[in-house]
Amino acid sequence: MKKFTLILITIIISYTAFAQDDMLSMMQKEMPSKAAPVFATFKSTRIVNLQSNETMKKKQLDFRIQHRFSPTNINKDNVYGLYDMFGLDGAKMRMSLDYGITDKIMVGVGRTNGGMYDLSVKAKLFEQKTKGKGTFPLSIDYFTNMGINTTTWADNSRQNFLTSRLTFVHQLIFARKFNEWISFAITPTVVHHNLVYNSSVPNDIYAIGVGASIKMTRSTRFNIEYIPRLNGRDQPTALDGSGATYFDSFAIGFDIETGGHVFQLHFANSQGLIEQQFITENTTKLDFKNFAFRLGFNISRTFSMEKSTAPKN
Amino acid sequence: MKKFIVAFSIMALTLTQSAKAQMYTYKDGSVSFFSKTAMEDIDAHNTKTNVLLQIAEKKIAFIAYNTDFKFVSKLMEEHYNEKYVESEKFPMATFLGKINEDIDLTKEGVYNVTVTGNFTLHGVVKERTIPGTITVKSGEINVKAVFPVTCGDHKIIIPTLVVAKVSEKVDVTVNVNLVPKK
Repeated sequence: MKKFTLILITIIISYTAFAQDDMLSMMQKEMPSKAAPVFATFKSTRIVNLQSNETMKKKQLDFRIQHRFSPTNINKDNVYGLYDMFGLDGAKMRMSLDYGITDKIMVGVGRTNGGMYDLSVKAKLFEQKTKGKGTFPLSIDYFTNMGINTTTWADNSRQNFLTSRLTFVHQLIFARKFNEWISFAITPTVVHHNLVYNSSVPNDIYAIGVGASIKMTRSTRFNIEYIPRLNGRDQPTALDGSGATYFDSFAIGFDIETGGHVFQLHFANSQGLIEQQFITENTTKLDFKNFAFRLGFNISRTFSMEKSTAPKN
Repeated sequence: MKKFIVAFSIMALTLTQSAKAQMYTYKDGSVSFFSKTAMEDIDAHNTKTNVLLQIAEKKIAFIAYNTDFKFVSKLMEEHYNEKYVESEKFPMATFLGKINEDIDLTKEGVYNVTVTGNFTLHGVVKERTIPGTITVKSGEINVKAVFPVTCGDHKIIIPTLVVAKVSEKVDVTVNVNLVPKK
């Protein structure tokens, strides 16, 4: 009889389970709770100058126009700022195309005025995942680029090598989106110059970039970044031999989204647009007192090469 | 007594079996939505929707993860998840409804039906009556429906900057094939 009662109870329970009104919660229990990668850690592939952990997704093309102007406090006949409209007369400009081969690998090509071409690859090694099985606390990316200087040779009388025009950057990008509002990135970097000015200048400069992004409204963000170098700090190291001293790059900026575009407006002390320039060749001292920084902006426009996501049948 | 237990067990087994056979679940197809404005057409498809149809009780349930909606533009996809439906807070859209018509879904045929139930999107529940077509054919059931969703009804605010690009009224299209649940 005991057995019978047991069976009866089981049947009643199983039957009521079927008759249960809440089909949705029943379905949810059966659904795999796979952790999803977090999205929008940063608004675009760059925080300001520094690479973020974001890449273009598969078949997405990013056309980017970047400008960095002269320092805002240029003085001519005691006319500060207005003489060249707060530096707007002197611009460094880069145009680039970045394309997502897969959702995790992006390749890019760019040109900065002054004859600097660059080729780059960024790959997502790990993605930050929250909730469910297989969570991971960080995003980790690897970024590398090759800069090719195509200006005329300084001295045509000696034998010149193409390799001496090449510079390389390797970065690991550790990023974490803490919540909807705040994201951080730490970026250990090595910049390698194949040819340096003289033997006292190191070929490899190490730096650790730090960056953060704070969401202000649904479509605007505040970004800040600082890239201190670890070695070669005391070198009068201009590669062109001008004897200028280099300074660490610092920038603050705002992202403004308008549908298909992202505008990034910022204040930085560096004018370079690729890593080898703004990390290791920045000649402007960060000087808040004298209002000495540079205005800059990035415009990013994305295009999709995908036709449709509809199922094929 | 023993015989009775055996008989009852068999009965119970067949009962649960038939209860299972009365359930249909997602095989393929998609839940998609379409927003049309003069400036931009937005088209997204979800081919991983979870569907459950109970024949006897004529109840149907849908669960769609917002992040499973695939857009042509991945930037749009990110905006959809980050700014519009806020997938981190509200990961899924659901519908649980009952077929109003007196039909027998164990018999083959094409049935025009209306389904009344709760549609949840962006954390806002709306009671909706949605017209659709159910086709029962050779052991499979096809469910088709088209219905409009008004963004404002679900507290999805379209910024003035993109009002020209994103339509306030979005057409949702359901076209899924269901098979008996194993």
